[in-house]
Amino acid sequence: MERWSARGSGFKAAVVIGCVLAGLFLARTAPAQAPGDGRAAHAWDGGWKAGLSEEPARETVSGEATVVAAYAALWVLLLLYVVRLTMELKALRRDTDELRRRLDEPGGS
Amino acid sequence: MKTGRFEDLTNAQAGLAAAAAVAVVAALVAVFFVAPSEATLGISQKIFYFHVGSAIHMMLLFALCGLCGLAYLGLGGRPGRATAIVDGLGVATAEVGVVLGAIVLVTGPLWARKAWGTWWTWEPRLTLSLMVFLLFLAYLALRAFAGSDRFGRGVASGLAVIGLPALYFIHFAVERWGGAHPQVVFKGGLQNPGMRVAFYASLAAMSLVSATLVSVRLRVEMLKGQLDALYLALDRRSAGG
Repeated sequence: MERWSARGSGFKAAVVIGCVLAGLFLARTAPAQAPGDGRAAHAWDGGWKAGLSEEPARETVSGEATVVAAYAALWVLLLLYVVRLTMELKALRRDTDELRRRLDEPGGS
Repeated sequence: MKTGRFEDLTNAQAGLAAAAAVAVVAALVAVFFVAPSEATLGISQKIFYFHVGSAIHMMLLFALCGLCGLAYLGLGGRPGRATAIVDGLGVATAEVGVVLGAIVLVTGPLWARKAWGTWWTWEPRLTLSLMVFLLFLAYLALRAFAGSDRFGRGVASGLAVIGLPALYFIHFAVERWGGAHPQVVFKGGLQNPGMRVAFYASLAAMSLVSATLVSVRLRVEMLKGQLDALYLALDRRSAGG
């Protein structure tokens, strides 16, 4: 298997973007069971203490949109961090290569 | 074992990253196609799986960072391989923990709006989580400003140690002080097998993602140490010749 580090930036970016898009696609196409579905009933028995606000939540945003937003935020944050780590590794590699080259030069500084 | 250039990912890291990618895809399939929608919350409950997985790993990484801080202080910050590893691991766990904390603090309010009718509430677990997140953000800032200064690194380690008791209180906040968070995972919740599969799959995926990120970040920190050593060698050579 070819090393991941030997792959081009375009390939890596395509893989990451593909993962994000796949996540978004899965979130949008997930089957939405109706409340009261036999499988879902009483599946969650964790003791909710819902209804913190005096009035019921205004349904201004759909559940699907909320899930898409949450998963998009999750993968974007992770992606940004991976990109930052990759850039840092590249910069370190460039600097160490340069310093080693200068140290290897006879009488160089 | 390294694959070639010393800066490259090791075989172990590449394998870990591949396993993490597979686990993430499997977890997403389990979350969206195996686990049923919850009866009350509907599809928005699916945020729970990665939200809780991120929160658990955030706490574990912060705890590890606190323990590294203790070890660093125990070693007295004396230069050496053990100190470098402990110090590097502390920074790596704190940084990945902060990334996971940011995920928790973004996905949490999105879910809270649907579940509780509010974006944010000052209940014990939320408040403590925010405080610990800010504490480790301060740790990273302090550590960045300290550079290679031993005293600065010691103060940063002390700050990480302060986070340890706060982590304990976050975990037991719901039991001791109540609040809006449900006691789901370890208190008989998630009775549906599909939900359990999705939860444990997302937990495993976040474990592999966290391990990969920490190992790569630790490598970055080790390379920074090597770079410092190379600069010193070059300086000595310039001064000598």
